[in-house]
Amino acid sequence: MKNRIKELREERGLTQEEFARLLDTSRQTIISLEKGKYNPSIMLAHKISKVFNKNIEEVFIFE
Amino acid sequence: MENKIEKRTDSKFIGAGVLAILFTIHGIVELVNKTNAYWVGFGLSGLSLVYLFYLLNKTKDNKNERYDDERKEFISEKSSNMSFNILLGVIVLLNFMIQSNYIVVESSLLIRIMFWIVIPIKFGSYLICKYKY
Repeated sequence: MKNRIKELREERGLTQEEFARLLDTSRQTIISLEKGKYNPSIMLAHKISKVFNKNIEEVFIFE
Repeated sequence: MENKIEKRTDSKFIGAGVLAILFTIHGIVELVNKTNAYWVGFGLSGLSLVYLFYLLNKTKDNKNERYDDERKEFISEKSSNMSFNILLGVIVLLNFMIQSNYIVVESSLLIRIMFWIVIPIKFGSYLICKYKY
């Protein structure tokens, strides 16, 4: 599953570490998410879309 | 809907601490039994402690990294499954070799072999899963 996390994070001027703190997770998880190596749980996906103030479908590209 | 989930310490920290204790006990047992291998236990215990202090130092500015998150739990689960499958394969292979008299081992030696095989299998599968996810 592709996502726009890196693009949206950079748009908001957040570092990976700051973003990880907002999500209460580790920086490694953010790196994996951005590379598309790891698909988040529905809870984490919901948290991410809430941080970006977008719908899940706008952040994650379901193919 | 927001429910506070209790944070659990990262298994790397717990693992390093547990290994340090285990290898210290191993070293003490070997020392009491007056075998020459006691330094292996103490050496590995020292390495585990160094790794633990390295992890603590690395995460001192970001305490969030000291706790488990869903990806770490996922990796732990996947690597446990993988190491179990590999270990099962090793047991089947050893069983075949012993039954066909290809190797002859005492049960105590066999347990020692298994003990020293489990650690690299577990560590290797963890690294593979970490790289993959």
